[in-house]
Amino acid sequence: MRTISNLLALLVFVSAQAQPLKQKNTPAGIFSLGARTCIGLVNDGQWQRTAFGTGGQFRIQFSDRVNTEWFADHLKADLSDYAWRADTHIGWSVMYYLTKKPQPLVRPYVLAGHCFEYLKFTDNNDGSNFAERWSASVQGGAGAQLNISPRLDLSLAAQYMLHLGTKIKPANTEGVTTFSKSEGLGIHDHILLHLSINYKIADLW
Amino acid sequence: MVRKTFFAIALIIGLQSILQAQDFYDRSGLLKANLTFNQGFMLFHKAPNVYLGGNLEYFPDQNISIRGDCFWYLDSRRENPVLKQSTLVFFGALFHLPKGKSDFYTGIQPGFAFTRPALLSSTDQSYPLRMMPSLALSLGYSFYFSRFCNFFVGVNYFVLRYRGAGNGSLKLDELMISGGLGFHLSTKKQKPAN
Repeated sequence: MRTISNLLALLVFVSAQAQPLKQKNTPAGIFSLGARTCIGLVNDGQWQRTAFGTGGQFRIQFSDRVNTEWFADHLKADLSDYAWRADTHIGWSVMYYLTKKPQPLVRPYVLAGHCFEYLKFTDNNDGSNFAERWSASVQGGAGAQLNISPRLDLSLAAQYMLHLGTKIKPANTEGVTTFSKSEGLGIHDHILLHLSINYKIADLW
Repeated sequence: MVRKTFFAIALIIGLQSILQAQDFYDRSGLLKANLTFNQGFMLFHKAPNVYLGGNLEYFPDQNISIRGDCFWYLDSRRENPVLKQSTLVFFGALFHLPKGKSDFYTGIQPGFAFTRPALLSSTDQSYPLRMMPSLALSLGYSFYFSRFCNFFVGVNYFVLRYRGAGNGSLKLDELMISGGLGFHLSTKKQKPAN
């Protein structure tokens, strides 16, 4: 009985999604959900390779031209051929649309926000040999939203992320991998490119 | 006699289903699902892998669908397999070009792979199961021959790197071919055909 009622609820929900989005007043309150694929360009040293990741986000729009994005992503990269890194980001950005028109085919925007990062370096040959740290960051960048339909868009963005946290440096001497952590806080940066798909679910207010 | 009657009834139901499908042109509100075997071909290894794959797809409008896919690695058609264990999960959107009962589609789906490579003779290293980010690019065709059923054929390209192998990453990119019978259900009242 419960399964049937759950199935009916699912059918009612998906049926509602087939209708055009009923906008209550203005674009403020529009809630979207999406998935993203990311590329991280880190310039820490000769050992660093390009990172590739996946994540998701939701957006809540606050006015005609201001949207917010709440995201989480997970990226992995090689550290030369002896170790690898895993980055997990969780954060938020405010997006400001550069055009007044609400539904042009392409809508450029600038963004800025904050994020927290968990970083882990692991030895390729010994999983118990690792170094980790948490950091906070600020980010800023620009992107463009391609409105495929009134409810679905594809967004491509590039953002510069400046992290404040302990710096970890890997080294490999005669086949032995070591990780050294800097004393105190250090600043390190990277560029994050992401392509996301976003679907407008509801107008909340 | 019973058998002939049974086949006649099945034929009538089938034909009726196909005739009903002629009115079936508006795909918005359509909920689709399928489960099939998939043949994969790794681009950087000689490994014809076999997967069991399924997906659930929903069409918020005529040209757009949102789809979640899952693939379970079953085995390889090669003596020394590259993979020991692999499950891939993707979620994303597809763009459709419907024409009558035909529908061509393409899409992009970010996702994750839970992968453990097999012991390779070249490195003699055993690997742990790891979660790796992945990306799927899809291209395919569906034929809606009935009110509830469709035939489909598709190609997926998966971008996947296993990090932390002895000499860096293992490139596990794979091209996967799938096809078969799919099922669909309209969650919205259909508009009459013109």
